[in-house]
Amino acid sequence: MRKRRIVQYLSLLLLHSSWGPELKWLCNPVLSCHSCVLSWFACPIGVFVHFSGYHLLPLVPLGMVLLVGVFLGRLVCGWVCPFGLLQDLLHKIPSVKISLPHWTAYAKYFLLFLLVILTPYLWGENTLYSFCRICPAGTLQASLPTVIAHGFSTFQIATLVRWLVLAVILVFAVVSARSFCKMLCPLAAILAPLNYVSFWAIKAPAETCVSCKKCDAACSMDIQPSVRINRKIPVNRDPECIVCHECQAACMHGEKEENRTGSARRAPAAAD
Amino acid sequence: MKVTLERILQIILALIAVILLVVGSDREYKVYDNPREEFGLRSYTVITAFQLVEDATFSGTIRKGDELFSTYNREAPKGKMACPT
Repeated sequence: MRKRRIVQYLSLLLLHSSWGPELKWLCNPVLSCHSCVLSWFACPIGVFVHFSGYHLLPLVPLGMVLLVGVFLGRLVCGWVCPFGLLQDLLHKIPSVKISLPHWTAYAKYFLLFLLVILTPYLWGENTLYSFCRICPAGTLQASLPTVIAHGFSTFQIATLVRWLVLAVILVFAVVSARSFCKMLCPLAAILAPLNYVSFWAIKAPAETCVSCKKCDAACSMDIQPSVRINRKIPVNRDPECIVCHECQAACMHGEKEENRTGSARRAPAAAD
Repeated sequence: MKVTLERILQIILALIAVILLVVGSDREYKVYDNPREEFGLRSYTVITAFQLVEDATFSGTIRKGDELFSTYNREAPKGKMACPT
């Protein structure tokens, strides 16, 4: 869907276009490192890590993320997140493609608890064992530019670990669509349950559905939209749905094709 | 019926989010300027939750014991700050 790609590129530009002024008291609800010199907003995960270290409840950041999640669900993952865009582009590289087992999706909840809440709470906000230390967005937006700008004098073992984690995540993104979002993203773990109740809903065309399963084929998250279409519930009522609307686009395309075939079939009959 | 329940949940969660924002915005935090006492005096600054969020983006505030400490001069122009993590 070209419209989504345009929005993704625009978001990438707008989120990372700060020439000096910043709004870092505000959390953007996507994985984008606030250490990037061009970023406008704070990363909620980075802020949560610090608040855990402070032993304080992050009321304001949690309120911001919850508000966005209640209204949009994971729409921001599909349309706004720059790291999601990178994964989408990497998945276009021709290679062997695999689907991850569904149970792997639970890893992100464990990671959220362990590396965003527990370890910073126990060992402080600057601990080596927090999510920020291995965050692939942070490595791309802050760690890599720092090494490029200041040379390898800033390079440490921790930097090597970060780079290795980033490399593995990027390779996985090539072979499995949005594998990081599915398995590891702690922000997705916060937003995922909100998909069940978000105001944003992809209407299921249950009456016109012909069970062609084109929506299932179009879904990059492998969550079988047809199941919810048959149950007459909004398609995005699944924690793993990134609300990309690709299923809806595939369905409309299918209907057009169906109509075209129908009119092509009717044409000889009319000639008779 | 199900739609009504869903709508009620949506409204409750949206209200929780707004309450978190309002209650959080009202909070203030005491941030000490220096970890060491100088002549038995300890100076501190009271900052808002939004300032603490901003500080969290570059470790401008750290925790030692049960207290928060500032890692930079709050009166000097800040400029772009990078997070050490």
